[in-house]
Amino acid sequence: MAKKNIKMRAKLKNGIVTVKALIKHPMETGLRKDKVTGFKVPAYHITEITCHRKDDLLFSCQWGPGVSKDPFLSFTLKDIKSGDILNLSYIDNKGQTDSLDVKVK
Amino acid sequence: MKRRIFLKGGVLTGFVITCFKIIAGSSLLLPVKLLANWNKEAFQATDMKTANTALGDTTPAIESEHIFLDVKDIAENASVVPIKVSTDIDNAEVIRIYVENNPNPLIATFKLTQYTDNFVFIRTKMRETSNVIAMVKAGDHLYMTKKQIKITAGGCD
Repeated sequence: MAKKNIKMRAKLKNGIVTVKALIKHPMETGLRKDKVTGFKVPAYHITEITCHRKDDLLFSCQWGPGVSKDPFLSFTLKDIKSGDILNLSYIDNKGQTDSLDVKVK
Repeated sequence: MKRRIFLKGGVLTGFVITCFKIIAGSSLLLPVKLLANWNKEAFQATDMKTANTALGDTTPAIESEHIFLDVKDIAENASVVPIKVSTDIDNAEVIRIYVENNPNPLIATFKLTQYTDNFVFIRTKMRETSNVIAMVKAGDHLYMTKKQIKITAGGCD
């Protein structure tokens, strides 16, 4: 199994779960020029991220190329119990995906 | 004898084709969970109005005090500018983040559900000093708030 590109943590405090995720991804905008060749580096960035609990969609977002390299994402959730398993998955514009299951602490 | 071989061949090809169908079917299943409806038009728009229209909103956004945009006034590193957005609008459905002077102003859209607590934190790239705009969609209305971030050194494409 390949090494996961996602690091994620979900912590419950006062009824609210804070999810923090760090994804390893180059996030090329398609506008940057390669210093050696002078050609533009083709766009390569995450387009969509979803967070599920089993089949419930908890949170989803769409990203453009303007998100920083190795993106960090944080959001909060309610009505989630400690011990629930959250699944975070992403897809990029080349169709590559990765996902990770994390238990709420 | 030739007929036998022909028949065997036929069965084999049939089997191979079904295998391929199963593989294709399973790989198609993945993007269903990831909604895979990235709004290309909106994210590649070069100004905010076009992006908003592509997202299905033609009415201009109203300035609101119920959106809290937490950013630093000065960014030292233009390629990593942290942006925190939260809101206390009850029926907020979508949070959008724009950087006005970027080549593609729309940075991200966040879809909220009954489980979310109206808070997002993300890091963006900025080309130059610009207004950062947080937009919230609630019902048929669009609310926004903006803040300027100064870029001191460099800038990011």
